[in-house]
Amino acid sequence: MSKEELGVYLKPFNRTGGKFLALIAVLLGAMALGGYALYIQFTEGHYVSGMRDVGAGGAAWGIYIGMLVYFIGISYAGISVSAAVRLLNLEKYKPVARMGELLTIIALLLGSLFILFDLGQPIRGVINMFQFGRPMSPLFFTFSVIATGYLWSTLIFMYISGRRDASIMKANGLGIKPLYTVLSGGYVDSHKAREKHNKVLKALAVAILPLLVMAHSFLGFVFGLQVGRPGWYTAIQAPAFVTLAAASGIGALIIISLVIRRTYGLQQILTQDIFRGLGNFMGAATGVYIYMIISEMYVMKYAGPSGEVLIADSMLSGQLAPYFWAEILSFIAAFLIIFAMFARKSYSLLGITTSAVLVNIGALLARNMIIIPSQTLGMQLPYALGSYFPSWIEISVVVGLFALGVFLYSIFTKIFPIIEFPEEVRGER
Amino acid sequence: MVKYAMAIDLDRCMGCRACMEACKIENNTGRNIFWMFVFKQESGEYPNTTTNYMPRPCMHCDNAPCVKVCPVGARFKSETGAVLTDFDRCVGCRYCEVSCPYGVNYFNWREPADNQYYHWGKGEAEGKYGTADIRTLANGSISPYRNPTLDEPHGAEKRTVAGGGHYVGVIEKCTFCVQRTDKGLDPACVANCPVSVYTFGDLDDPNSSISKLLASRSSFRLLEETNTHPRVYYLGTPMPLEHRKHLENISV
Repeated sequence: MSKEELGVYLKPFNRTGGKFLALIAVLLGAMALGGYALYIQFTEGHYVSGMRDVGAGGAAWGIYIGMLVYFIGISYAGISVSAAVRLLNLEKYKPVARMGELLTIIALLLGSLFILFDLGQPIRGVINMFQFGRPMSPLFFTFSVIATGYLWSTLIFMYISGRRDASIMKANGLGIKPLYTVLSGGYVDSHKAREKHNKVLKALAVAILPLLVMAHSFLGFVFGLQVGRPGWYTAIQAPAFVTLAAASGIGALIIISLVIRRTYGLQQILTQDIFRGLGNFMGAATGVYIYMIISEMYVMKYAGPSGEVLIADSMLSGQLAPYFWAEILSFIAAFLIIFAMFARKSYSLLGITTSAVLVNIGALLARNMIIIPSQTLGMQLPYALGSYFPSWIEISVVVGLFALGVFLYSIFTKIFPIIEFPEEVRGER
Repeated sequence: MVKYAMAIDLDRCMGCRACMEACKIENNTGRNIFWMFVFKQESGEYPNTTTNYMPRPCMHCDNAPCVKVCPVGARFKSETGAVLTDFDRCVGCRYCEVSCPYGVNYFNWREPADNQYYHWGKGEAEGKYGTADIRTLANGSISPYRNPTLDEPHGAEKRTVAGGGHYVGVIEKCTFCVQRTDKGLDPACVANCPVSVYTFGDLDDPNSSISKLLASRSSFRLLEETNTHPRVYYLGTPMPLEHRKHLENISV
């Protein structure tokens, strides 16, 4: 491969314009707002949030837990795409593999921060989890398997898969040399080394694959095992969490890779073919999720105990109907767009993007609609019905953490090749 | 071993809420925190209406959902049958609160001193309501609303479990007044009830008053279908759950 062809992969390094700096400035501003909100929250207590006790007409878990579930759902994308590339040899998706891995890491980091900011005593949260952690609690796995195990194994996976690229960058004398020396970790590109590299990645992908199902199921079990909360207590909770994670995670990956393709002009590498495959997968997962919501709603409304019927009524035609129908219609529209393109065998990037955005809007609403109504409306003793709406503090923290995620992602594209070099690229000595 | 239980006679309750008041004074709980709460509701259609009352302490379940879900073991079942919270260990995740079908958990959303009636922590009460005099009476040695003995370790476990309002960002709930039962006294709500709604005692002892009461009368427990095995038994007419209307709400 010639230098010009290698140059295509290095495009993100060439263009650091005013627009990028403006984006960074906006993100820093949003992060400062989030930081200020957090400062207020930890000096005044969680009283400044919209959350209140369930026995006093509120929700004890609010948008923080909703966002935690959303972000951990998003993290699905990385490992699934990487596993497809390494295990099923779907070389086609190799250009988005690293984007997916980075998305997983950043999403898990944000998810972990949401847990931490939701805790009344965050410092104890970290210390006591080591000292007194109880595996009998479903929440223990949110801390251990997801926030720690999943995050670290993805980091290791990404580091190992990035060694070859770092050594190529170093051999070609590009970018920040000391960083690539560390990241290449002694890897020297040769035929033999490349074979070994692929073998190791394959083994790691096999080892990491169970985490994909485990992480999202455990999060579902946090809710699905609670007999005291009508609406949460259902056997479909864990499979539904995995399904929605697949849809929203792949959707987020589509959005991110399209933004990168457009910003850095990478149309040559990120072909429409990739997006067609990702879009089909997302559409199928969305279809399955719609089916799961329908069967869940049917059971709740038709056969459910009074608590479940109350929640189902509120979602279908009551106070929560606007949110619920917005969620359902986003999913249905997203599914229909993909299905129409599939049926006509002609895909447009606009259609795939619209669908991915709709799936993510639906997922954001769905996560909060799972968590909140069962607390505000789900009391089985004669408490008054409650309500919850996030305060500006909570919204600022959410915005700030979103900005942190985008910030980390943007910075990464500037210091490391966001697209893995193909086999043909050799480290020249 | 003593295994405490409580029986509540709904036919006797007249909704005076002396139990709620006694609980607040004994346990120093803040605003919007009701370890003991008495539901008041009206049922039936005019003119044939009745008003019903139902006290609701923590059920101290034998198969407590809150104990099962606590990720650090701060919520635990004590040897005496009470479900207690270790305030030094709680991380404030509120999983116990969302897992409880009865809604008996209360979170310290803000600094307990600021959440006390009269805002003691912020000094807003100084000079108002004659509170400066209360501080003088206490020789300025303690916060006027706080009982320092509640900070001592209690029970066989020797953990900080008594009373409320210890730290911001931790959960709290009814303890069956562990500081009183340790000394052989009845919980504050039981002791303060003017019409003997409550019977409290050792269910393992067949000769205790509660064992005899539960053997002689039919009783029920709340939400038994959730398999929580509560240690609080109700006697008398259950609260009607159809055609009901709240007489008041807890405002947040």
